[in-house]
Amino acid sequence: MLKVGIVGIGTVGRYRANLYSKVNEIKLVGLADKHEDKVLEYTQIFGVKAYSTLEELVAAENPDLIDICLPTHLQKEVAVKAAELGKHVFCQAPMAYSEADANEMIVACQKAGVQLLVSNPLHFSPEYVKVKNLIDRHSIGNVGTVRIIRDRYLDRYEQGKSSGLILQSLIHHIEWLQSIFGNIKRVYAKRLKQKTESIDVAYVSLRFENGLIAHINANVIEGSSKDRIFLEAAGDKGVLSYHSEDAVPIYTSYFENIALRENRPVNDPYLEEIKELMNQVSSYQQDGQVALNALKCGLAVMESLKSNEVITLLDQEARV
Amino acid sequence: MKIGMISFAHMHAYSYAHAILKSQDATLAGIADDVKDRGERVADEFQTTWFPDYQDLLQTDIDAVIICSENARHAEMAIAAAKAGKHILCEKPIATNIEDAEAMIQAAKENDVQLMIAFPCRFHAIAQEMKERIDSGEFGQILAINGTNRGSNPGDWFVEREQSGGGAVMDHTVHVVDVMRWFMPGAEVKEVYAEVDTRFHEIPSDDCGLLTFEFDNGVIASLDPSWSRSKSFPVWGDLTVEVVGTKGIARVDLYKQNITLHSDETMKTTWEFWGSDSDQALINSFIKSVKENTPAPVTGEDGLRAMEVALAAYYSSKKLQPVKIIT
Repeated sequence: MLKVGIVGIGTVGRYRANLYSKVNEIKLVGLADKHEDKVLEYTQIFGVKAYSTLEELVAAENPDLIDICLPTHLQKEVAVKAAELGKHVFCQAPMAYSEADANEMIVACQKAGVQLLVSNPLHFSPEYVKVKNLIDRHSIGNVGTVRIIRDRYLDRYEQGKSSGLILQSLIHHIEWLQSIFGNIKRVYAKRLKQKTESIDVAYVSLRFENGLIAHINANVIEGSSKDRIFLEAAGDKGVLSYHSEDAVPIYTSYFENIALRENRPVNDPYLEEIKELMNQVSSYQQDGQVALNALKCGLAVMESLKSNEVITLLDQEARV
Repeated sequence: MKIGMISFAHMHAYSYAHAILKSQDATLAGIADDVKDRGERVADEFQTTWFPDYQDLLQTDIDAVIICSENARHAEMAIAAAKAGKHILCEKPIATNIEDAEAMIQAAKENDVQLMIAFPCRFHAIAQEMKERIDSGEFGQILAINGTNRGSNPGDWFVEREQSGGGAVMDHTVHVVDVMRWFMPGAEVKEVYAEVDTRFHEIPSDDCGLLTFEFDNGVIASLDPSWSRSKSFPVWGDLTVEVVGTKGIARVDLYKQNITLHSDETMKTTWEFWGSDSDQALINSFIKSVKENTPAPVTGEDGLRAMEVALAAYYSSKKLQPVKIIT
């Protein structure tokens, strides 16, 4: 049995608290949130006690792992504190907004001898798992190019939120690509120059050490449409492609005006991910390095967006 | 819980064996197959004991059996398993004639064992979602359903009427009719018209057909159960259902979730499915029913009702007239 404590009870925290209730081997033992006025309310909603600080949560409930559900810029402080208290750390990607902060998290966890896990739902999304399997078993030979388009829709567009979502989309995909194709050599990227009220567009060019050329187009759009994935990999022995808009197993129309319902996902990648937490916590080598590599590349993309320059990652590595 | 498998004549046996291995609650205790090469090979592959005679497997302390023999042998094996006190999961169709199916149901009842028929479509996550949405009233009352279960020619004993009880119409009608009956609990098919022929392959059995039929609740239905997918087709086959209700329409394709793969290796374009594993869910459900001693979600009667429609289709195609099913 793995005992988990959640820090941060926003949208993400609430969602994840609910996920833990679906896994037998994991027990949510408590929550922490700085909004003291809501602590009682949370206790009622989630059936576990809520505390106003991480320290109180740890002292009272002694969880094995802290799931950090805070905005990116607040993750480091809690991660370091949790590690110092001897607790495994599970956080969202990007792990931080700077390499220095990410390194601090890694060092703190290393020192304390605890695991540092960074979420990436793509490793648990069945379509991405299938694509990786097909590529790994050489179904299309050596892969020359990969093209990914990811649209995320928001009810209400906010410039700040869109930046965060674009970076998160990019880092998830970069890390997933790195897990198949290895290191990235250089990046270049463009982003919509004109600020609009309704759409943010980023075009990213990635060149891998093994020669692969990958394109990621991450969009955040205001609207009610369903998030979209387009993915194509071309190899010297074949091509594979996937378009989420084609993979709709139930199509509906109504005689009256009823809001369309979304198809249920085959499985919730976030749920599948926490089912694996037990194994990941008991394995060695979960030190956040993989996530750091993806973060470095994600930050290089952001840098390129600002500077309009090609960022070479190997050079950067050499400088470190 | 210990499960034995009787015969690997039907290829679904491989998938079921893998599902048992993946299950936390059951072990594969032995495989009986009177085809020596096949029995030895699969017992080795799944690291279990081979029994040349299924009666010997039934003498062991297994709790249940999965029967994947040629259709015509289901009855003999299922009745023996029931008499040995073993719960039964039997591949579809339940049998090749009504007498056999009724004898199987009777034997299970007398010996107080479960008889479940393997209709994996019910356990497909998309079908489950559709069932819930129909039950919630999202589409109102069902008025009409049309379906397809087209596939490739399985060859082998499937095309030998004595062993299979019929070709494509027998093989595929039962899946879709079962899904339709499940969508409308209590409704039974009352009248069937069918065209049946052999138009795709040089085989002794039928390989295509079209059923136009009606349920006793007034719902009209049609179904294409053909082995009409060519070798170049991107996937083995399909299972689709279109439901027209008083409030709306739903088009369901159970195998829509896939990656398109163009491969020089095969010189083909294929659709690589990434959706739910319905065979695993079927096996898990069977194990759960046996362990908890709760009624199996798909019964011998369900198997019989679906097979009756296929038999009626053959009869109708000979008479060139719609035929009534009286249950």
